Amino acid sequence: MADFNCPLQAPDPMTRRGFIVHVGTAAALLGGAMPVLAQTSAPAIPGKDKLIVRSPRPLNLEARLDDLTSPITPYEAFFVRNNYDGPEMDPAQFVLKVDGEVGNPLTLRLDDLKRMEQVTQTITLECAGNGRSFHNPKAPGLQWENGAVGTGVWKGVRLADILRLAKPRPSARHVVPDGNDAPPTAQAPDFIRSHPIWKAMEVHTMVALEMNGRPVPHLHGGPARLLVPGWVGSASIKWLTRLTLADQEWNGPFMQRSYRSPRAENPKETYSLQSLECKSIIIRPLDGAQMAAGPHTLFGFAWGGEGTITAVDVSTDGGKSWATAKLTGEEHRYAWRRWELGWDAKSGAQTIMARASDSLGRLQPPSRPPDPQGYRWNVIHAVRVNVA
Amino acid sequence: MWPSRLLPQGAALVVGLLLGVVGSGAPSPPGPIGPLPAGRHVELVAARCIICHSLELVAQQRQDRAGWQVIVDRMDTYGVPIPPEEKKVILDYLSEHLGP
Repeated sequence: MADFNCPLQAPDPMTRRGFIVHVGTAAALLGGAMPVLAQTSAPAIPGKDKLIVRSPRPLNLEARLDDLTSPITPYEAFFVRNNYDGPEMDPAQFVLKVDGEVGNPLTLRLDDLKRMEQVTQTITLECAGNGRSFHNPKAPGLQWENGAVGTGVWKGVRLADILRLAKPRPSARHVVPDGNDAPPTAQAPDFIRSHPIWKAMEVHTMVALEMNGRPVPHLHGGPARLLVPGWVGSASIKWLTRLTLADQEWNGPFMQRSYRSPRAENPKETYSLQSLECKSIIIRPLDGAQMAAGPHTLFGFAWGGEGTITAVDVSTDGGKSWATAKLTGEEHRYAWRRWELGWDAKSGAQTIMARASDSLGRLQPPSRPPDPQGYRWNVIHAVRVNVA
Repeated sequence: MWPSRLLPQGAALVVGLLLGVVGSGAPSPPGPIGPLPAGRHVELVAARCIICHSLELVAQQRQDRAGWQVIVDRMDTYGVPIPPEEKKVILDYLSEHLGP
């Protein structure tokens, strides 16, 4: 048997609902020899109680659209996606190793990273499986609705600056980042996803030390996390401890099996996910809202991964006609864009839809072909409201 | 208390009876466990799954038997060895109660 860190000995502290699970009455019959399987208590996640708990262990928390009103998502509303949980790391003990196909292997402490040139960027993170629950047929995995997305202000060091210090050899074609997350068994594969060197060296790719003006919180990957902007969230490895330069892509299951989708031109083949899709969500009104007749401001956010948003069209008649929304607020290369449109609501049941288009010529689609693992959901978002 | 040298067999028998792996004719299906719906073998499913993750992760899935087979086989490789007879009843539960 594996020497895994089994919760039979360590009841899960991260769960929300206060239930206790026994193996039937075996524990009692065995005089307490069978331990309690999972003992859970009241919310144990300070500051995160607004979020929907999709899974207590590993911890996965989804934002309610109700709380995603601000262009910069506050900690309290920022989703959490963990393939595995990780132990809290002591910043004083933090070490980042850079090795592999390099001429100058590095061991960097947090202070070393802080002494390097710092950059601050507004970047949107979205889980590759955001919207999975809407796929039909149902795809396995966390059943996210629309809230596995958020935008932070991230401060830290360009990954390219770190890599240059390590003097990559010409053979270095991929960067393989590893984090301090802990698979629950010795046999479960480490959570590793690699990136081609061109994206690693791109000026926006960074190792973040701060999120929204304070050290990156543990639940978001601190003390240091990777940010691979515009790409699916899983690219942005949390609790970063090691960067290995390699001559080929990582061949573990999180590259070769997960985070892959069928190719449009040949669905029998899959490709490893990189850029996010072109997508918009409606924040106001919320689905099912009761509204008064008269003027309202409809708003939401749109993003396109490697594409930048060029327009958001909004329909207030269920898709019969579309009006161009106004893009508001600041524009950042890899952040969502706020959009809004005035609407004079008439009485009755109304369907509001938003459809983004981007600089790569992509248009948010009315439907999607099957995606067996439930990625890339970007079907036009529609909300239904009742206007009194 | 069970004498420690008898514990493995004794425990296996008791757990087996409770889980319905040994014998049959349990008067009523076991009740829900956390988010997992009531049903025959729910305790076994809970006991195996919770080694690595919370039961919420299981309860939110909707898969047919073939889909569950893929998932359970993967968990097998992740260090939770599941004997074939257990796998069958686990799949019975999952496909019956958490089907499409």
